[in-house]
Amino acid sequence: MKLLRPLFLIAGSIAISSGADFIRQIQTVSGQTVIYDLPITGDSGQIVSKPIPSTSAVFQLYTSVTSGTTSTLLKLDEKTVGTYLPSVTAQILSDDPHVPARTRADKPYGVTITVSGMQPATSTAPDSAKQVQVRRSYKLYDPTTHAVTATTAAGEYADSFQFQTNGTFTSTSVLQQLPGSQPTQAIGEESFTVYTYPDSTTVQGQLAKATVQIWPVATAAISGIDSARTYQGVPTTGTVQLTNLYPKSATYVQVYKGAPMLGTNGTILPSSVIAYDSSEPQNAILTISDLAKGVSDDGLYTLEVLTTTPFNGGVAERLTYTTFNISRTIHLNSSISSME
Amino acid sequence: MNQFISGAAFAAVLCAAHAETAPDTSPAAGFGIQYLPSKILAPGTDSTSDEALKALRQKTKFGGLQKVGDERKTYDLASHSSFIQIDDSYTLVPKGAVLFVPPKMATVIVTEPHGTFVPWTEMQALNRGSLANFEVTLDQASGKTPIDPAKLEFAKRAGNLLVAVILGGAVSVAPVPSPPSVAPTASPR
Repeated sequence: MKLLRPLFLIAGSIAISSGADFIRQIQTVSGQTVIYDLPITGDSGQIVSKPIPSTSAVFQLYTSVTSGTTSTLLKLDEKTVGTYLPSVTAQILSDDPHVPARTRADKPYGVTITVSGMQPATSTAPDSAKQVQVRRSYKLYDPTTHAVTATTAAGEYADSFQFQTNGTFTSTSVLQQLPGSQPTQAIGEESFTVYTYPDSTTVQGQLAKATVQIWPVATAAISGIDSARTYQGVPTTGTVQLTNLYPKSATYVQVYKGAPMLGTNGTILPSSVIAYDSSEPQNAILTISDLAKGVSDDGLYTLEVLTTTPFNGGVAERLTYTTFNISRTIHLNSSISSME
Repeated sequence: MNQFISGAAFAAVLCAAHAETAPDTSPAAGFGIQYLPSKILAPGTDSTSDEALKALRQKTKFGGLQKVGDERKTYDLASHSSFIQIDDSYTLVPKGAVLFVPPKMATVIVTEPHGTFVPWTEMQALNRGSLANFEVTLDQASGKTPIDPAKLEFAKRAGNLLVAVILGGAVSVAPVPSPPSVAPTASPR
């Protein structure tokens, strides 16, 4: 058996804000699985692995997350290294350039997988050197905390792909399939993970993984403005409830005279503009206090709630709208009579 | 669904052009007119409805969720670990690392730990009176050579729970393969 390396360095920074962390090293030695646990004592630096007397080894990075009085162990990363294993990278493509990768529930994302060092099918190398398998999986987030918890669901999709040649493979329009009855409100993450060749007797090691966060489509609800009513003055009681605004977005209200018509540029109400550059969806309540800026003469007006995100090339999307009538002319029905 | 796929086929699974995101020089986050994007374009669409997204999903090639029982075999933590519970703290070590559990500590090995996780090195340091390291070699961990029984028996006498370690890190110990059985030979008369 070939000695892979006397020591393998897990380099790079391991920066974790809290919790106890450790690395699990797994390898097969003389036909037996040997598992080491390497404690991590600092927040950054290098960890030197145990000797690897086999052709490959799996490294898993775990941390503990404490909620109340209970700790849960989470796997942060996994990497398989080996003498004959192909080198694989996986990357997510999204119109939102944010890192870590993210997209919105209704916006497709892309995946690029690059394979090099794969042995030809005619080679006498082990099967694990001649093909890799890609699987797609998901994790749901808690809709309130936007985090993975012990009760949130996770699993694998049935899709799997096997690559037998070197090269760069890209799929540019992957639509999220997170389970749930309201797909626009899906919240979680999807991963494409590249594994060593599946063998019926051995456990697959992870060669590369790319994960994309999926955030919901924002919703808005206007209240305090009655579309069935004719106002004798500009309404001042309107509010807008905004839910799940995209982490990087600008949302605002515009008003224009006439019936609702997409593509209309109206008067943007300054007090309604709210922008975020965050790592998770946002909720907000806006008070429509300056509606008078967009109202001139009497008639039917449309109020629209719009949002711009990294998607659609910067074109705003309409979240909701309402209409209202204004008639400030007072009509008096009266009669004049005289008595002699 | 399990399919062999070429690069072109993988790309064809789903195809849509990627729009470049135009750089925006407006302030990033806040409340007020100054936080509007520098370039305002009239709204082009309503936000996507569930019905529209469901219809889009139906046009997408997708194999559904994995059937129960068909999940990939993984080195998952729970099935490859032994959990040791001491009061309201627990630790884990690789399955096979626990070499000896004294009868008085039989209940500390649990399958559903609770409380705060503490790494083995720290847990052992905090409980030196009941938890102990037992240094092994890589050959012993892989089952290539047996652990010296005399050394193990000596360590057991202290009455501590023994965990196999290499340089302080807990390590699984595989059983030494049994020698092939030898067929009994007929005894000469």
